[in-house]
Amino acid sequence: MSIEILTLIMLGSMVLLLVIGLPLAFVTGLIAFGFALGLYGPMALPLIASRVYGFVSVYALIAVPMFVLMASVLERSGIARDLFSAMHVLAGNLKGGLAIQTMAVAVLMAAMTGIIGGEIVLLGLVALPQMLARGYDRKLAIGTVCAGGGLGTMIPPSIVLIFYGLTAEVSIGDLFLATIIPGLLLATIYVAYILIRCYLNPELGPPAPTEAGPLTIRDKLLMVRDILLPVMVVGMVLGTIYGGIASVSEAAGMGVVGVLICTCIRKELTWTLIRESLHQTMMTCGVILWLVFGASALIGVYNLMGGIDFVRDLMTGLPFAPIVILLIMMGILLVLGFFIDWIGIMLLTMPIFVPIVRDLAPAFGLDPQWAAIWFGILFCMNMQISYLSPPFGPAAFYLKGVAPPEITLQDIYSSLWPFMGLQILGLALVMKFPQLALWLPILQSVN
Amino acid sequence: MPRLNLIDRMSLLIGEKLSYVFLLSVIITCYEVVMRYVFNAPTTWVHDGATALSATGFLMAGCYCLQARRHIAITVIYDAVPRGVRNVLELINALLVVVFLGLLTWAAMKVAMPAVAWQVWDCRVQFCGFETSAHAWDVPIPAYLKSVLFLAAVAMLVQSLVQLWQTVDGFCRKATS
Repeated sequence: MSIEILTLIMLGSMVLLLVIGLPLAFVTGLIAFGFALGLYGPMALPLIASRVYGFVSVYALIAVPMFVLMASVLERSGIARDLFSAMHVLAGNLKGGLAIQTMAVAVLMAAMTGIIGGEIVLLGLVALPQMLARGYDRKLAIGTVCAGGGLGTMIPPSIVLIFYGLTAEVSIGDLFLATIIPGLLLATIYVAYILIRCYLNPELGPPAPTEAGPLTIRDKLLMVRDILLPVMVVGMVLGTIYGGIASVSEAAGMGVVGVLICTCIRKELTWTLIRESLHQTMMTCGVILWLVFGASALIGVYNLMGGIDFVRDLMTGLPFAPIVILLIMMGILLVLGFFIDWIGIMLLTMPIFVPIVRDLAPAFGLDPQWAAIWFGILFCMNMQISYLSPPFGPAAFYLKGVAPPEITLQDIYSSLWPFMGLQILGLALVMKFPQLALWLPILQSVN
Repeated sequence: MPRLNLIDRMSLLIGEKLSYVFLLSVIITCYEVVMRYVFNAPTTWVHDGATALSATGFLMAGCYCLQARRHIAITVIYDAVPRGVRNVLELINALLVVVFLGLLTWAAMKVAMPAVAWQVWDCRVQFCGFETSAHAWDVPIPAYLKSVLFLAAVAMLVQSLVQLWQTVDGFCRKATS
């Protein structure tokens, strides 16, 4: 049977199994086993199973549970809540100030967590009610929380980039450096959007009433503590990585200890907190890793069938300019983002796309390795859009879980369109100017 | 909350207890950093040790998620179809999960067996030795992890069989009532 037909059968069976509600991890695994059995006989199955073993025995992977654990502890402590209230100095009597404050907290939190979910839940619990109470436009408030919370995987550390580094075989440290400017760029675009909307129509985000009474010394000290503690954790993690002191995994370990020390200082550290955080970590890791196992098994079998070469020839053989091929790849990621999870998309498409990007690198005037890093950032930005996109955008589900009951999933999705537009703008900018992503890592590699 | 049977309780318990491997790997990783920078005496075992600990968690977490039915699925169509169709889909899904995990268990056994080097000859089990990692810390981590993969597959298979049984049971009850 030709590879075209086999590809179609594979895609068809995947869609069918997904639609009937079989978990993605089992869909990909089952199809991988099915094709391996049919094409190569039973002895191919152990080969697939040993791929699973190959994946879990990678040292860099231990950063994943650590960053997840860090986020879980953070979620259970009052660190985020207090950070938010301490940051009200930022809001002042600016129009839309509360939304700006939310975005600033989102960026700081993103520098402590590497995963989407916890951050949106926290902002949904802390910032959203305040914005609504202050009479903010509901759509603007919801969009701010979801888009800001999504930055968790855009600002380093980022689980998405860890997996990208492992899949594309590029340095995770370089990826973490490369994503800083694009991440801050996105946040800046959001802030600009909020300010413009609120200045054009002040009813969307009324400025804060002047606070009554001056702050006592004690209040000020507490405020300093509430801001300094998170900043210290960020410094511990990112400082160790960028300072070249320790590997990403070790920095993640330090981050967990940092967050635990913070909770200890705040007198929140209990066994219950640790136990529940660990349970949540186990759950999150199980979901992510088994998706990885399934998808990597499937792409492994597809590669064995010659599928990756087939798609690669198909794409590079297209009579288009390299930038158009890049746009097509981004389009495919965008469409997939509407339906499946980032990890599934990454494992299934990156083994095909990254070699193409490396091939195309000279056309963009880049070294293949840097092109792969740039593409990782583009992928990460693309997934920002997928968090918000209906019908499965996880950001909306996370927010729905904690938002006031009168806010429906419909409300949330309809609030997110403008922010998806802003994300596409950010993506387009980094696509047009690869230097936005590559300037920092290249700078460091020169030194 | 439905009453949990023995297997469900075991999956839950194993998952919860094993989640401590992540804390342990954090602790030994920080120990390594301190030893390296403060005492200038880097360890040889933390790297492999932390990897093996986390990997144990990753593999066994599959069963924890299966028990809680937390593996990501797309349920838009599933939720939209009429109840009768949904029951059939549920049955098909449960069956497919069992098929997949059955195959995985068999494959994982094939991977683990040579690694652990159990050789069955004339009905006599002869112990030959473990596959080792050939790293600085020369311990049989590959053999260990491949065995964990097998154990994880078995645990998930058992859990999925229970879920299949529950689904069939529910299906029959709905069909008769």
